[in-house]
Amino acid sequence: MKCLSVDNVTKRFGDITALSGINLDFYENKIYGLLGRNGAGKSTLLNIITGRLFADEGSVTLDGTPVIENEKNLSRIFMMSENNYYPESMKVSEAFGWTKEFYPSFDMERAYDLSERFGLSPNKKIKSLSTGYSSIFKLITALSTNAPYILLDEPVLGLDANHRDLFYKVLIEVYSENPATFIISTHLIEEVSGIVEGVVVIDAGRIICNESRESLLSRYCCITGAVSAVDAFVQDKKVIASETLGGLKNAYIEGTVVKGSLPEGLNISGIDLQKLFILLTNKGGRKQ
Amino acid sequence: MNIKAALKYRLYDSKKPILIYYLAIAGLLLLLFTSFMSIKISSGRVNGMEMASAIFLFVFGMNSFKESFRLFMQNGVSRKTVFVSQLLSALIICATMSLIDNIISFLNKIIFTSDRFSYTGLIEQIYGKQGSGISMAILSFVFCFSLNLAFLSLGFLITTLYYRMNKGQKIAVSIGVPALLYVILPVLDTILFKKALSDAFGKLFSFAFGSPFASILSCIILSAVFYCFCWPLIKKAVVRD
Repeated sequence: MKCLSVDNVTKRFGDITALSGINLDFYENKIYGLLGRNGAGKSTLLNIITGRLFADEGSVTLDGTPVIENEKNLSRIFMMSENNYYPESMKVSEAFGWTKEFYPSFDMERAYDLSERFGLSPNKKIKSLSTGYSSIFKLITALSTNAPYILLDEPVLGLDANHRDLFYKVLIEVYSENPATFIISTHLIEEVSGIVEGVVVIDAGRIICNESRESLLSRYCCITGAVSAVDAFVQDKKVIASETLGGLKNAYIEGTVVKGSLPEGLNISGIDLQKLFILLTNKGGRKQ
Repeated sequence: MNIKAALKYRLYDSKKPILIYYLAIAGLLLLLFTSFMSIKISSGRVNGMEMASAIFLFVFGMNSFKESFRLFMQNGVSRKTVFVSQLLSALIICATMSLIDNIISFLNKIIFTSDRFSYTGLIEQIYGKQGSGISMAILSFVFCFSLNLAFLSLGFLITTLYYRMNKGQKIAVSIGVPALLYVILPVLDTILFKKALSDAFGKLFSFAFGSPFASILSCIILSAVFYCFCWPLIKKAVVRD
């Protein structure tokens, strides 16, 4: 199966290990959520995949051939960065034009259509765009490239709720029209949870979860009820976290529980992706 | 390879500053001409305006890395293409500007042709008359081209070097190099070497730039050396925010 592979990638910045032995496969035509807290290493990983940074160890391959300094492979990957890498004096329309020079499959018609839908003026200079519109400009560019692998680093940074909603709709439209692999790195987990098929959670430079959203969410559940009843029920189970509020307790456990086997007074519910992410990555703060 | 697109972008990107530069040159020449004509000046000379192009290209080279490198990285261009496109664009820009400069020089000689006002091209100013007609024009073109290339490549090397340096290294080089050239070496030369260093440098300079042909060769060798230093710097360059 065709895929973008990250093999044993390690990256250090001085004494800090930003990524440690990362192994990942991103398969074609799937939408992935790359989730992690601030400083977890998401952007570093994406920058290494696209060859903007060099890994200290390991390699990145596309269908078995190296990506770094390989223009055939680099032209199949487009990354929308959190930062702007276009000359500030360049107009939006010029940026579209130059992107088409480097990505001949760039859909100019779609770019202008999306610009109209998002209310972005193609005649504006990039430096004059607000944070939100700068993100919109970069999003439109990314979604119009028709590259087989599109990496979106914080795609909704500075976007208001309406624009975020429109972005998710457009993403699905583009995906339906031209299936591609999307890797979305974001903090807004709740918003992407309905879109992503694969979930990669990165924490302090290590992958702590890499599986389909469905299988991930099915492995965890929440047991709610009186403190003593919950404690008694979960004592032989793998509890990943718990919360007590008054006399009620929520115990988050890894493993499946048959609803019929629950004692009276206890309830079982699923855990949403955002809550699960918090539970998996919250260890009482982060070391800088 | 994205060389064609990268080269196209570099040439597009250079169009505006070069146009502004030549507009400024045209304005300056017009000012000189009208001044000579309208004000009661007994005599005047305009010399070697080609040198201004070399200085412009040095500054242009100093501004030729960061912005384009980021754009190229954004668009999946390899570092090899970044380097090759820079080299090709430098050759095209230097050749074009040398041609324009020689045309301007030719026109200046026609315009500033009276007994009171005259114009001398750079090569003639430095080395005296080196033949006439087409051979002089070709020699002047090649001379300007090699000079432009040396200045542009030096500017490009400096900016690439600074891009790769951290803050401390930048400060050290910014202070260290002028201090070495203008303080330490002259002091050492006077006290320790009894002017032997400056004599040796003078001889080397005379040897390297003593004739138009030696200058052309020296400038081309220097350009090649500067670009040879640029490649390893670009090869390991990463995108910085």
